[in-house]
Amino acid sequence: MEEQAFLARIRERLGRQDGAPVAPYRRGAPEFWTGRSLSSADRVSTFVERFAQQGGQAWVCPDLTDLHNRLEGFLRDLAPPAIGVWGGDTLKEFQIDGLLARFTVLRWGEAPAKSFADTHVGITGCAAAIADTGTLMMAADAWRGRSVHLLPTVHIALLHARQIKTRLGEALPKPGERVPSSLHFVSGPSRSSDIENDLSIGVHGPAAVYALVLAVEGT
Amino acid sequence: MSQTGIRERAKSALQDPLLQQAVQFTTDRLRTRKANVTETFGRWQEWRDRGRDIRAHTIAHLDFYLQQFADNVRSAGGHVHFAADAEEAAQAIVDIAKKRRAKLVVKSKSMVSEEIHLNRHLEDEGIQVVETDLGEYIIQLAGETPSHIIIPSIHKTREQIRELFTKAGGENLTTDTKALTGFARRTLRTLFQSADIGVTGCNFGIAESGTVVLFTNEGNADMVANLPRTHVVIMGMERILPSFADLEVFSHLLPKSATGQNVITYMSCFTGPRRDGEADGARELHVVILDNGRSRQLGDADFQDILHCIRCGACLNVCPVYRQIGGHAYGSVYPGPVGAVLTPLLNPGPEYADLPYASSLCGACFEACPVQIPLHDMLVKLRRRHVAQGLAKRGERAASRGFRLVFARAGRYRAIIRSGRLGQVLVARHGGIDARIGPLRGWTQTRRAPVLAKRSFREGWPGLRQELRQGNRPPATGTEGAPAHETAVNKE
Ligand code: SF4
Repeated sequence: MEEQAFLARIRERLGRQDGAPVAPYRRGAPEFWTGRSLSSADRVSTFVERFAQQGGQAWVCPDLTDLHNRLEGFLRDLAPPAIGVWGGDTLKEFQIDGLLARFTVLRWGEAPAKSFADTHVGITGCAAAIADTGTLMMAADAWRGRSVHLLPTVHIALLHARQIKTRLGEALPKPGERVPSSLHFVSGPSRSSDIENDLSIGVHGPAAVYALVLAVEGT
Repeated sequence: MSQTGIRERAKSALQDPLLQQAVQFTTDRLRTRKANVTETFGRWQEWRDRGRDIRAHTIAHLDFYLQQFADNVRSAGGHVHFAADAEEAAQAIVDIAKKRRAKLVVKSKSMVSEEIHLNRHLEDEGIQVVETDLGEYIIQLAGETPSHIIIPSIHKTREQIRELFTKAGGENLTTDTKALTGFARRTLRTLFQSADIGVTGCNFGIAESGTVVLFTNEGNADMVANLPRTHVVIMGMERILPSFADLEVFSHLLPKSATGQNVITYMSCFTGPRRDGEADGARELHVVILDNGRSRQLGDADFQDILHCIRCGACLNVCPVYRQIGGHAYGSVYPGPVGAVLTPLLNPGPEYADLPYASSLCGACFEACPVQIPLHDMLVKLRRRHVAQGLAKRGERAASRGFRLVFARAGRYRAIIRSGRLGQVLVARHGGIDARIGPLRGWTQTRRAPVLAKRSFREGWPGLRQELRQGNRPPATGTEGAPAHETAVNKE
C-alpha cells in the first residue's frame, strides 16, 4: 500500500489532522528510577553480582597485571584453536598483544569476517556496562565486528570500571545522537528452556560470558 | 484456519493429559517467577502506569510516530514497505526474496510472520524456510504450530524431540538436553551461514532513530539478522515507541512479565544495515509494516487499547482457561486472553466469534498485563457485539453462561470438577458424555463432552511437580545461580 494512504487511514481513524502537534507525555522511566545513582564502588559490585545472576562471571582486577594473569589463565584452560579479537587500537589500553602472541589470533578488520565462524573465544571491549541488570553493551563499527562476540563459544569482555553505568537509560543513545548500526546488549550466556523447561546454555550464542573489570584508581 | 470451533479444539486439548501437564507446569513456573522478580524490583504498579501511559500516547499519535520511524529507517539506509493486509505483506517479502534469488530463508520467532502465513508463501515459490528458535525449530520439524507464544514447544517431550532430531540427521542422540541443543546449534549454524535472507519480527521500533529492537534469550535472532546478506523485519504497525528513553521502561516490563527474568539475555538494536567499513551485519535492511485490521481498532473507544499490547504472554500464564486447554485450542496465531480479544478483532465475522467465550472473565489477565489492557472488559464487549450482530449461536450463549459459572472462582471450579466426577458415573458411556443435563448442557447439546480424568490436574499437581522436578537436569556448569527458567521472548 502506498505510504501516505496507509498513514492517512490511521490519521483519519484517530481523528487527527495532518501535521497536528503531538501532545506532551511522560517520557522514559519513572523519576524515582532516573533519579537514582549508585557510587562508583557500588556500580562495580552491583555489576559483578548481577552479571553472575545472569549466568556470566565477572572479576574486578586492581591492575593490568592481574587482568593479564586472569586472561592468560582462561586461555590456558580453554586452549582455543583460534581467538577472535576486536581490531585496530580498540583494546590498546589493555595491552594484551604480548599475551596473545602464542595463540592463533584473528583480528577484526584484518582477517576475513567469515573466518570468525571458527573462533572458540572472542575478546572484545564494550561501549558501556550496566550495573542494574549486569549487562554489557557492544556498539558495532569497522573495528568492532558483531561476529567477534556473537559466534564463539566463549566471550571475554574487557572493560574499565568507569564504563559501568547505574541503569540502562544512561547507556542508551540520547535524542539527536548518532546511533550505531548495531547496539547489542548482552546479559549472560545464550539460554533456552524449550526442551521440557530444562535450562540449556549456549544454544545459539556463547555458552560462557566473562567480564574483566579493570579498576585502577584515578583512571 | 479455524475449521472447528473453540469447544471442539478445547475438547481434544482436554483429552491430552501431556499437553495439559506441560502447559500448567510451564505457566505456573513463569507466573511464580514473575511474581518474585516484580516484587524484588519494586514499585511495579508505577512501572505499569508508566508503561500504559507511553503505549497510550504512542498509539494515540501513531500516524506521527510511524512517519518519523519510517523516515529514520530510510535515512539510516533501510527500506520501508507498508502493507495494508497479510497478502500485501507476504507479497512484499516474496518479491524481495525473488529479487535476491533466495533459496534459503532463516527466521527467528515472529508471530506476525505466522499471521501473514509467510512460510507457506515462500515455500510456494520453492524457497526453503527454517525456523531457528529452538522451540520453533522443534515444532517445524514436527509439522505443528506453537502452543505457547513464549515457549512454543511446551507440549513436546524430550523423547519426541530426540526422534525428530534423529530424523533430521542427528546421529546417536540421547535425550539429554545438552545433546539435543548441541545438535540444534551445529545444524542451525551451517544454515545461518548459507541463508540468503534472515526474517525477524520486531519487539519495538524506535521512532526517533528508526531503530528495530529485538529481545531474545537464545541469540538466534542475532544470527538471523546479522549473517545473511538481507535482513527483513516484519512488524505490526503498533510496535512503535517514541524514544530510546521509553525503551528503558519496556526493557523492564517485557522480560519481567514474559518469563520473570530481570533482564533479557540479548537486546539487539538495529539502525539501518551495516555501514561503510563494517565487515558484518546485513547489507540490506527491509522493514515491512503491517496493518491487517489494526487500524480498524483506532478511534474505537472499546478496543483501541488492544494495540498497546507488547506480546509478553503474561495474560496466558494466569488464565484458568488457557491453563486447561493450551494454545492450540484457540485455533489462531494469538492464543490466551490476548488472542481471544485480538483474533476476532483482526478477523471479524463468524470464524472466530466463539473465541471470546474461551474465558472466565475473572480479570486475572488484566491484573497480569504490564500495560493494563482491560482484556476482561473487552471480552464482555466482544460477546455483546457478536450477540448484537447475530454471530453468537444459542449454544454459545449458553456455554458463555456455563463458562462464567465454572471459572468464576478457582474454588468453585475445583468443587465443580469434583462433583462432576461423582455425578458423571451415572451418565458416562463409551468414554464420553452424551446426556444433555446439568451444567454441561450448553456443551453437550451438540457434542460429546470428555469424561473427566479420574484425578484432575489440580489434584494431581503436587505429585506431577515432584516428577517434573526430578526429571530436570542440573544447569550446565558455569551457570550456578542462574534463574531456572529462561526462554526467548516473543517478537511481533
Ligand atoms: S495483553 Fe497479554 S500479551 Fe499483551 S501486554 Fe497484556 S499481558 Fe502481555
